[in-house]
Amino acid sequence: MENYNERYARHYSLKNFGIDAQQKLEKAKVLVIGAGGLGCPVLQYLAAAGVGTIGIADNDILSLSNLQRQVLYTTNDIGKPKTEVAEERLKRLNPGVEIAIHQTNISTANALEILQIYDVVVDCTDNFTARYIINDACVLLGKPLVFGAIYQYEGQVAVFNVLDDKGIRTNYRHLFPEPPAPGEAPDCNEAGVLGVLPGVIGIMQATEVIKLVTGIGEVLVNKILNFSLLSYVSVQFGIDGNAVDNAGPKTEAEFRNIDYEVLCGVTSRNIVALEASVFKEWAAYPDTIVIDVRERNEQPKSKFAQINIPLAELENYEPGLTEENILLFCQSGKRSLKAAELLASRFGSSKNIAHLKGGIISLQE
Amino acid sequence: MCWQPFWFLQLTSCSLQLLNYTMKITIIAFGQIAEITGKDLTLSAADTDALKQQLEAMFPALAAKKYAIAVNRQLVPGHYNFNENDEVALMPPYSGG
Repeated sequence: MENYNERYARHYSLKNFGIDAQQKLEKAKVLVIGAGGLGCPVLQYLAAAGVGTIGIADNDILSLSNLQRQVLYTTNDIGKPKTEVAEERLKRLNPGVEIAIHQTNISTANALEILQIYDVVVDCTDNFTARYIINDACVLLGKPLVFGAIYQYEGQVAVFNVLDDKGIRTNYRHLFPEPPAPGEAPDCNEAGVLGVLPGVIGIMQATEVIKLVTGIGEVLVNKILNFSLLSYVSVQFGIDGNAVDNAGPKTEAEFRNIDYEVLCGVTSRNIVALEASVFKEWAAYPDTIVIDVRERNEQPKSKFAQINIPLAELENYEPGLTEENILLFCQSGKRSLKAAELLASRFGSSKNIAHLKGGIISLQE
Repeated sequence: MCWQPFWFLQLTSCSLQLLNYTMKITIIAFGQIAEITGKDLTLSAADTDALKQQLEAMFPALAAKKYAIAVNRQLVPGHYNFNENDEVALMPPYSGG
């Protein structure tokens, strides 16, 4: 057999797959955005399957708390960029695969340039800002997008932007036209996640990539699958592509001009967001109070918090906050922004209100 | 069954329900929404707008949450009139990865 590679022997002998499907994988260029919980299994299985070119876009450094679910990495890798470690591991797994690293967070400034190199995009990110940027960029470029997202014990998988046999093509905005408000949908940092969940959902995403590229089976086009680890209940919902006018940008120029961080409530034009180093400096100023707006049992505790008022209690918090400067923080920066907006509407410009960008997690790194 | 006492009362309540056009529906909820509402519920509602009002009255925390509504496994972005025994799913967005 021409181009026979023993590595893929079980694919060659697989009914309805064979050498033709394997060659389609070898020609494919797949971009995996996010090399975390979902990204690890996606990268491992796509590299093992022999996808010709795999792009990895991530700007994160490996930390200890990642290792409970990000099984591509080891304890010795803590402090290293995930992309570099992933590249080295994947090349050892399959030297025949070309790995391209994009050491960056996906933004409106780079998304179109990076995504257009690839045939399929896999969304393995952990925040709505990135998810809406990737979705809108894929819509503009007409790229198939394999979506995966997780919450505690449940996950969602979908394939967006692929025409079905009725000529309908849907995307994430057909499900959720606008991003949720800050704090409305907690991330893994705040809500926790069972370590095996991104493994299961990531492998489903890798499966959808393989099905899409090789043409086998039924791809989750215009459907979203919701899977529960606790019950193994798996429900598929059809997505209606006709009923709503897509809320995303219509042109590349419009896309580049959207501030997705403001749209997703990660930053607000009215609230000062402080980097960790500046936050520590400001916390030492006179007439300043630092408020932890997390729930009382949340870890890690911080050294500089003077009081703990959970966000839900802040609205009805009676004792007057007499200090002129109010600094707020939470786990990831979502709830503290909401708290800052709440206090800003109460005190107006009579006080200086700021919050810690990226939350207490950013202080530890 | 005419020989049962008060059988006519049952008929009356049944026809009253039809006049209100409320339909018995089963709710299944996912993720953060299930944490608020519980996983399964059975309610009566005429349409998606009435259902949202009813759910938000029962669970005020729901008003601040985003969720997509699916009827019989098909997402319905706009207004929808229920049929008897519809299965209505409430699915929030997940951001984790």
